Amino acid sequence: MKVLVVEDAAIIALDIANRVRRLGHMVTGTAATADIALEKARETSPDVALMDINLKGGRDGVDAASLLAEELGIRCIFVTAYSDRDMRERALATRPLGYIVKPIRDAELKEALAAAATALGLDD
Amino acid sequence: MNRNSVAKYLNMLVVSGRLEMQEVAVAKVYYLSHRVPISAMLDFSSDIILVLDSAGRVVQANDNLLSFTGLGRDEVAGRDIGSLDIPLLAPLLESGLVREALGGKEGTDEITFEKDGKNLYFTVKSVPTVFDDGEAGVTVIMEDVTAARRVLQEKERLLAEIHQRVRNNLQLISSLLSLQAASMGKGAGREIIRKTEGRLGVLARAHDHLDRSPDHARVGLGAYLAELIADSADAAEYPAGLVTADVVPPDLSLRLNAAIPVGLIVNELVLNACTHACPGGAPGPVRVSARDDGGVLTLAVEDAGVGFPPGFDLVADGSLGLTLVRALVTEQLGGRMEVEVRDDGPGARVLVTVPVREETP
Repeated sequence: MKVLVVEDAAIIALDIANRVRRLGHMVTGTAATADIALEKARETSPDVALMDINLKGGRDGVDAASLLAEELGIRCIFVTAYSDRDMRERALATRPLGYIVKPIRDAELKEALAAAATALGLDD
Repeated sequence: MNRNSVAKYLNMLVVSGRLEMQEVAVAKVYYLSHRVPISAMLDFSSDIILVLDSAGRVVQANDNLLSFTGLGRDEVAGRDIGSLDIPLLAPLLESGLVREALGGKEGTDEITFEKDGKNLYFTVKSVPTVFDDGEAGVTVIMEDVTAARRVLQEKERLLAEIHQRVRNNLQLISSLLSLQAASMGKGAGREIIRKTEGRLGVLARAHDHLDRSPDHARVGLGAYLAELIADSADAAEYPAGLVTADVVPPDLSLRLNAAIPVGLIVNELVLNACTHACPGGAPGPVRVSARDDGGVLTLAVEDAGVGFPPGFDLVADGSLGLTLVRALVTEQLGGRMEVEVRDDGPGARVLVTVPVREETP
């Protein structure tokens, strides 16, 4: 599966990309803002985006997820430090493929990516 | 009229509030009470106050009510409250709060009112009232609690933000460790990093559960331990189904300052059991149990392995893991730990008892 990593902390982005590759998927790029995410998604057409909610710039990850879904039909798995109900509800309204709370554990990431692949009909 | 009748009459006037009485030695001195019309006081209250008669007509409306609704005193006086179009009061009339107060039942309610695009919050009291002539009525007192609500909401927002920052920082440390581990070949160094990641994971789990608990202060032990042992089994590459946890009572919960050390203890003991309990042989069951004995938490971790060697000294012979456990149990939690050979089968049992009496946070 082709995965775009959207995360504004460079070190965490590096780690997520590493883990995704270790789990046997391809990373098409990393993005720190909603705008870059949109741009990279257009260029690299990933199957799914791993989306942080807290992003640099004016638009957050929930906005970015809506844009990706509307403009490019790309759905997200949220990877976020937010666990409060309001933010979760806002995020779930964008029909994400998954919702992981930080810190990331390989088992949870693996499960979420596998579930996303199934939902997108990309099982091999 | 004799003096008894006079005394009774004066008493009635005292009870009705018209006279006040002071005893001076054996004499009772009566004088006119200092009465101020309550209507004069109502205007000084910061609350919105409305007095209605039994037919629901406005007897009094204080200045605050008038300025809030923008109505004049003569526009409301004597009018039926139902016929006045005051949106602020609509929820009160709908909820039957006023009707109940007329029936003699005091009531409280909270209402939200939108004014100029902002939400205002009121605590409303309806108080059964009796007028001078004995007629029943009702006094409605509305306290604006918007400011207090805002402070509370701000506090909750800050709390959520702090949780978010803790998580982000834990993620950052975890990412650094994970990147470091990935850059190294297999070996003892990588093993150390994995163990450190596991210990960090315990803190993250405790924060997860704290966040999910309704009061943000306690960690539900059952779900917390279930996730922890799955993490530990995963880290030790041990079949997760063989590691089980049993918590009695099932709804047992701990404050954060006990939950973190208890989590670290369980993590180390389970790792230890998974690593040493079956050298070469088939992996056997590892059982964790936690029981609350009235302020004392008893933790036991049992395996079906080879047990500790005879004469095993925890302090001298133990790994870093066991040294951590001992320090957490005795130094931090003020408890005791024992290592036993199981009498009900093969394997070892580590028994930890720690006081978890509630202290004020």
